[in-house]
Amino acid sequence: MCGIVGFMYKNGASAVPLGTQLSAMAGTLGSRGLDSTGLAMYGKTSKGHLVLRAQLEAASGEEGEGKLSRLRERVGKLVTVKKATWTKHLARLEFTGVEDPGNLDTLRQITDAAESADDIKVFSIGSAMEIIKDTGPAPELDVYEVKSFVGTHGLAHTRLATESIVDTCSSHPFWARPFADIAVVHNGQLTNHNILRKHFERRGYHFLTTNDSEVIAVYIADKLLNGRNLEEALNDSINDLDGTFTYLIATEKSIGFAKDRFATKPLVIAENDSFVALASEEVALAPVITKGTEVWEPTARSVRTWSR
Amino acid sequence: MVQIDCKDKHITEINKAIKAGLTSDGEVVVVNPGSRHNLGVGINQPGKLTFEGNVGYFCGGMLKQADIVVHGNCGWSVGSDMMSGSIVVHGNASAAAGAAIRGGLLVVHGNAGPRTGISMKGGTIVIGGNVDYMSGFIMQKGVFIICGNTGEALGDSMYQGRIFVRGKIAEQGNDAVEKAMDEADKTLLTELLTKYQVAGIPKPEEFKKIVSGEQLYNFSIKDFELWRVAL
Repeated sequence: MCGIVGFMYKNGASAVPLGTQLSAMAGTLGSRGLDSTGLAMYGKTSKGHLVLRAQLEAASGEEGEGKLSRLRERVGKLVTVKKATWTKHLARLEFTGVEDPGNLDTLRQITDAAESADDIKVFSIGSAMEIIKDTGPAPELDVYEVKSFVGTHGLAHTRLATESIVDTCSSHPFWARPFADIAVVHNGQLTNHNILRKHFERRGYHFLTTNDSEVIAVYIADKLLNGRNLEEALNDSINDLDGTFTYLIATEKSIGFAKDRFATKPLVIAENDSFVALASEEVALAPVITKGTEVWEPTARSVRTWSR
Repeated sequence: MVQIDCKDKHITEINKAIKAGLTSDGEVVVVNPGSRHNLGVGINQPGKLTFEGNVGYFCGGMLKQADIVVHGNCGWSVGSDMMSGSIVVHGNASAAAGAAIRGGLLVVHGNAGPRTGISMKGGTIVIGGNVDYMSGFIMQKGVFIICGNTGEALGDSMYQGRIFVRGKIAEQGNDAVEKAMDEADKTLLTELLTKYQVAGIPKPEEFKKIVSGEQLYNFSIKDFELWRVAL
């Protein structure tokens, strides 16, 4: 059992920051899992702009600053680092003037360079997307100033670990490495993730964890790379993924969900002219919807996408 | 009438107040239920209980005697394991509504989710809208009325009981077969749909009756090879 949340402002960022909405929704789903909490948030983009989020563990401020400085130096050989910061377990690097920010080889090189020393683990790279995740319940993320994040759409997850260990890397959302701006949150358990992971590894993809949900992110990103649109990719996944799942996917412009053929995992949706909100339980919609808003539940074997 | 406001109250406190407030001729009204789980579970006394708003999982679970009305939607497993009494939902229900009930009546005026009426052991379920995947799975007894459409595997492996469907059946489950309705079936449908004003009170002739084909009661030697491979 895990809690999943999705949210999109249809007409651009609103007065209430995206981070505030997602934090409030995730905060109500602690009963579905307190092992870890994470957010994938999509903010402002500009030409040649990329943001990297990574795990950076340090016993002291001095050690942390040292690791951050070395990280900046390694990645700086490939791209121009505009800004580098570090808080608690997480580092954030902002790049500017990247010639082709969607180029998979560039993104792979940046990831490899970042992870080549100091036990750095890259959680996300995106022009709009930033993944912030840590162990513990939703309030533990406040230290990363998530509530003030202004953006258009995003995902959140509260985890009750079943597939891999409880640590920051194995927390959701998962990044579809090395694809910019693609993330997934998943409630359920896949039974064919090892076969799928091997299939993707043979094709040159790398995974951060052995977690089943990370495979979904790469699966969808690979489908998009090969010309399927998001809705088609989600539909394909219902036949190709074995096990139980309701998952949410986000890209630079869209969010969507897929629900398995047995409808094993819950999802409720509320939508109006200005936003769409998705969550495992109705209680998580309460912070963002007004009383009396219609809430509906998708059926087994269904998918849907929203774009802005 | 006793009113209970759920705001800032622990679920145990709310349920204790509900049980304390219920009397055979009185009514308890619960406001601000806020989609919370386990509201009104384990009630074993007569009385009328109304929820003004959406409720979460397991509302009215293990119910005996009381009559519950929900003016809103329900989460998973509304009225699961009900023994007697009634639950009327003026909204939608999620998965496993009326799971494993032994008696009583569950009416959902809107849609219900997957596995509605799973393992029914008696009682009556009436759904005004649609139901999803594997509803009526391993039904053993009782009456299950669906005024809308169904998902796949309807009534899969049912032992006994009667399912009535007005809309489209996506797929009948294993050993779930259609049978002609008799006069008793028609009378029952008319009575229930009229009493609870469900789905504009459709006519009994609009429904199909689904029952067990009774072919799974005994082991079939034809299946020997299948079982040998599976086990």
